[in-house]
Order: sequence, then C-alpha cells, then structure tokens
Amino acid sequence: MVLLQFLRKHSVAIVVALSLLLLALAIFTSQPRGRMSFVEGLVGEVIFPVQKAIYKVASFIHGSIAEIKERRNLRENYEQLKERVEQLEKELLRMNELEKQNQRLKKLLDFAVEREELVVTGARVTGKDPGNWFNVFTIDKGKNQGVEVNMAVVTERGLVGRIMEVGPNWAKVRSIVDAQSSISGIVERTRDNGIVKGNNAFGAEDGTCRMIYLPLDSEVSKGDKVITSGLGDFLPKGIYIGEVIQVVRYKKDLYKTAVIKPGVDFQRLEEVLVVKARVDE
Amino acid sequence: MKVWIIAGILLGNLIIQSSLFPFIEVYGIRPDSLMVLVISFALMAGNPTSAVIGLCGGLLQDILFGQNIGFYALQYMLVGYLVGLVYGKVFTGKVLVPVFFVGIATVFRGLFAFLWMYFAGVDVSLYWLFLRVILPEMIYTVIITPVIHYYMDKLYRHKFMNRRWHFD
Repeated sequence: MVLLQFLRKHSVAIVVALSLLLLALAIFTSQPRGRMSFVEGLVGEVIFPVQKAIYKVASFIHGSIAEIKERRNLRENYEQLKERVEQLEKELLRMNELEKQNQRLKKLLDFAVEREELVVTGARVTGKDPGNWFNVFTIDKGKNQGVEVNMAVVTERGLVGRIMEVGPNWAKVRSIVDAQSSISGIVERTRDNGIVKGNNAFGAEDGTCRMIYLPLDSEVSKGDKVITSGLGDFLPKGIYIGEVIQVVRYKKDLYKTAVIKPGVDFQRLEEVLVVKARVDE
Repeated sequence: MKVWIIAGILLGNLIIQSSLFPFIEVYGIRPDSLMVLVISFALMAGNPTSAVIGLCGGLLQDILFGQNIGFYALQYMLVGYLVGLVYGKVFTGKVLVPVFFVGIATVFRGLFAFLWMYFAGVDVSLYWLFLRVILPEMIYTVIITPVIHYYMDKLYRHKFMNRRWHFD
C-alpha cells in the first residue's frame, strides 16, 4: 500500500515529528486545568466500570488470602486478643478522657467547625496510577455527585489529597505524598506555618511528606502534629495531616524542614470522604 | 482482527495494571508490564507495529491516569520505535534478549521521567531516584518479563496472527 510505503520511507521524520508533538502536548497539559477533555471523559466512562469490578475482585482475593493466613494462627491470636481486649478497655477509658479534652482544646484552638456539614460525599477508590512515579488515584464519584476540583479528600485518619480533575461519574485525586502536591499546613503546637510537599519523587519512596519554609526560630520537634491551615487554598482548616518524625535544616536553606509521616495509610486506601472548604459555597 | 486483539491486550493490561498491581507491589514499586508488551512486539513484529503499540498504550495510560497527556505516550513510542529498529537483526528466541532490552528501556524511561521532573522544578536527586525507583522497577519488571514474553510469543505464532497485518 502506498500509505505504508510512505510511512516506512519517512519513519524517522514521522517519529521525530510525533515526539515533538507529544512533548508539546505533555507540556501544554501539565498546566493546571480542571475539567477533563471530552476524550478523557469518554475513555474513562468505558474503562471505569470494568476497572471497578476488577479492583473489587482483587480486593476480595487479597482479603481471602490474608484471612487464610490469619486462621492458621487462630489459637495464638485468641490468647493475644484476650490480653488485647483488656488493654483496649483501659485504653478506651483513657481515650474517652482524651476525647473530651480534645474537644475542649479544639474549641480553644478555634478550628472546630462542624465537619459534617462539609462532607460532600463518600467514595470508593477504584484504581491507582499504574506507574511508580506519581501518586494519583481515581474515585467513583464525580461531577454528578457534586464533586468539584480542589475539594479535599479525607479519611477518618486525616487528609488524603485534593481533587485534581473531575469526570461525570469519577474523579482523579492527587495524594499529599505526590511530589507535585503542595498544601499549606500549620504545626498545631507552635502555630508555625509551612508548605507541605509530597516526598515521593524525592528518592524517598516511603510515603512521607516534608514541610518546608518553617521559620528558623520555630520550636517544632519530633512528635508534633501538623494540620491544614486553611490559608490560601481550598482546603478546610484543621484537617489532620500527620506527625513530625524529623526536623532538619539544610545548609543553604533559610528555613527548617520537617519530615512528616501522614496519618493516612496510602498503601491501603479503600474508602474516602470528599469535603468542601466552606458551607456557604 | 489482529489490530483488535492487540487493542484488547493493551486495554486489559491497563486494567490489570491499575487494579491488580497495587496488590503485588513491593515497597511501592510495581513492574511495568506495558514496557514488556512493547518490547515483545518490537522484537516479534518490528516497526511500525511496535511504535504504534507504544504510542497507543502510553496514550491510554496518559488519558486515564496521567497528569500530562503525552508523557507516557512519548516514552513508550520511542522505546517501541528504537527497539523495533533491531527487529530481524537479533535472534529473539532466547529469553535473555527481551530481558536485556526491558532493562535498558526501563532505565531510559527513568531518565526521561527524571528530566521531566527536573524541568518541572521538582526537587529530585538522580542518585536516589536511581536507587529507590529506577533500579527496583527494572529488577521487578525483568522478573516478570519471561512470563509475559512467553505468552506473547505463543500468541504471535498462533494462526490468528500469522499473516502480517502491518504491511502488504
């Protein structure tokens, strides 16, 4: 065929031209944009239900295997669990106490907004970015369920990330451990403001974040809690991000950097909540 | 017919990669099965088949999960094209051949991603990136290469695929 002959004759030129085109496209689409393009939405709509089903099956298989392993150590577990129950009962008492204290402190710190009014919807995680480079995942709720770009995604253990793009019935979420994620945070104890960035391209594929631009005189130390500040961006104030595990100062920097272990377990993420910043919006 | 089979394989691969692979990841590293597919087809069919497969597979991945449309497509197309150039010049029966090319291509892809991040202003160190991401990904991908390549080779020799569909 003439077309194929043409293709083969000019293959190098075609590959170079296509490369430049793709590069331009990649650079163009790397600019922030909210809505997905028509094609993106369409492909997503086709693959999405299948993906959801398979993810469910895979979760089930994974769970079953774990269960079988569990049964082997049943006896052992029983004894351990009995002890554990006693421990936990004690813990529970302490927790109740702490809960009350926590509520008082929250009022004091003035970030106890009624969270329930902020919740837009619950969603299931349906798939993860296949590559090892970015930490983006999809959820099964979208524009039709009231999800919008920049809404916060949380679990009961803290902040997960932010809605990046919205399709009709699905959305992409960029997690806080992604290298391209940055959110404004505050150290709960010392009230120091900083920017929390993902670490996942930093070479530390260990699911940590780092908080930069902390003032040099900041007294932030290991064990401090970091929450969202509500400044500047679209996240509600006071969502738990994680705990400081290390404070460092790089020689050339005029600020301190804190390494943060997020409260959320990013390896096992199944259900999330989507929340908006303000009720009146 | 063959085009549809390959399209099906790419689609199935994407679905498996995004839904099953999270369960087999080790320290956050997953094998890159699309890379194995592209290399397999490059060695079995050559250009332009492999370049097109790389382009389409990468584009699918871009559209569903990528943040930059064209990012993966460019990488896999180049890999498909460059490896496709050796089609017919090497003996592909030995399993070491695809393993070799998969290894090289994974490093190439890693460097590409590094350059992209570097120019996007992400704070990265190539040294750590190589140790923590590129090398483990290479090892993991190389491990699954023989399995995927074996089945692709078998499929390609199957009577469905016998007639070359890309030229004549």
